Amino acid sequence: MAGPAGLAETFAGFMIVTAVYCASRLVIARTQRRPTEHDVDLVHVVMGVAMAGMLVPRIGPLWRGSPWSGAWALVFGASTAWFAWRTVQAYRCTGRLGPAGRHHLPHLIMCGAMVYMLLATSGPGPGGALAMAAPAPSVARFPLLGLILAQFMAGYAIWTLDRLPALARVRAVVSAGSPAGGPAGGPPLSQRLAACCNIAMGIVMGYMLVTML
Amino acid sequence: MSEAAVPGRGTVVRDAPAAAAADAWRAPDARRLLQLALGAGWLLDAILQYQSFMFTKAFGRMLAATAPGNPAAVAHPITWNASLVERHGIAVNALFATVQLLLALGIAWRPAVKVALGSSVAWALGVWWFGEGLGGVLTGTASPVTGAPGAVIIYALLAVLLWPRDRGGAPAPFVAARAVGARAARALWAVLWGSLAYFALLPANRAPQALHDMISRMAAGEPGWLASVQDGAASLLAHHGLAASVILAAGLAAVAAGAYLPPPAARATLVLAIVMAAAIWVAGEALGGILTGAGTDPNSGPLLILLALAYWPARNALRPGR
Repeated sequence: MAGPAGLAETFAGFMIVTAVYCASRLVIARTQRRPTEHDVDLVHVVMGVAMAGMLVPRIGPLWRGSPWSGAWALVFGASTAWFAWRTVQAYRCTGRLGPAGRHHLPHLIMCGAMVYMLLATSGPGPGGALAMAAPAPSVARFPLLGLILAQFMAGYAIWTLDRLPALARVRAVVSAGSPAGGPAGGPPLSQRLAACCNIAMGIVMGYMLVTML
Repeated sequence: MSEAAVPGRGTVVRDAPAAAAADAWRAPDARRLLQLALGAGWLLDAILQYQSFMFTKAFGRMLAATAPGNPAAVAHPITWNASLVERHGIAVNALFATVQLLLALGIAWRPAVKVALGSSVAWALGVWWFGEGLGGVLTGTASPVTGAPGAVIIYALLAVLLWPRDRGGAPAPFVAARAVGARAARALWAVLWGSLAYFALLPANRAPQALHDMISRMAAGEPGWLASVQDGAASLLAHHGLAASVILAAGLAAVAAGAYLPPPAARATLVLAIVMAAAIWVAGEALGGILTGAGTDPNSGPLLILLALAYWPARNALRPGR
């Protein structure tokens, strides 16, 4: 490890692996007709690539220049709106936030945090911020919001890790309507690995937010 | 294999060991929630430790600055550690941050919670000495306004109080009493807050301009809104150091005594503790200096609040296993 640059590259590596894994989930879900959360996996793919590019700008040339930042902010703004809609929808169905709403809320906040990171930097961007070697005035606007988001990411990662054992691996789903109890499609893709992606993204995003403060 | 009916989907066939683990999993109780908050605190600390500044020689110099004023036996190891950090900053700091990351993840992962909490006590004691100079308690300059007796020692205290076992005998009146018993938990609370009251009255802290200067110094490098809050607090306290210190000490002493009061009065003192901790965190500790890019932790404010929550009287006495 060569200091913060090496650290950023390590975290970027984790994000690339996460993005590739989530992309593979989408492919497997389509080819083997296995259930997964398409929207979450898709957002993780985009988010993983985007975060890796923000951590190590040279691997993501599309991060250079404000027009691209604006475009990415639009992408994550749309994702934020999507998960906001899913959360409201879950609330409307049950009259309370419920497990479904609570499930979408962290994704909503993570997408919102991406928009914040893209729009709040007044300096050279998060990648540039990571290269700073001495304490300096905040490079981000609304640093308190960044701190709150970073604490949320830490809490979310810890909360998800605590719940990990509760996500039992599913071998198969047997249709209730099938007289022979035949398969109704493959078993859902691993929820535990999906949760691990959330944990990794939460920690790395927390790091990125803190480096912007 | 195990099976579970899922409305509208049929039957889910689950992997047997995983299913057993899932069935054994219980939603977090009050103590587990506090453990998770502690874990989140360690995780934020780890993230802060990964900041660029911590990999520079300046971090070593920051550690060395905690040595002066301490007895030689305490100061020499601090100086040695600081020079080690200065020489091998990248490797040592990466190790520091990763240890804290593992502590956080261990607390969150239930099978490892005991190992992680136990290790966190040892780690916190080490950091308290080598990284915080014992919080300045031996230098005569420790002040509750700037984080005495050191945030990291409160991490250790919380790890002990939130240890996942239940002491036999009478049901615990609050979460912190479950592991060590109500008498020991109350004594620890009284010692901590009593010591804060004592520190508030030290000569270095009750001088007319002491509190003003302390708070003014912390405002340097903070964002405008926080600096103006601190400047306002500092000017309010200018030349009133003695009166402010006495009032602060009285409040802290009342909180210390609160653990021995009946539940309604105890709740009132806990609210006072939370309000004082929040005020100290914002005005005195400047959110731990996190917004300057050189904060290694959020300082003592949030931990004192977490501690107060661990002493919140339970509606019904907590029996083992609840």
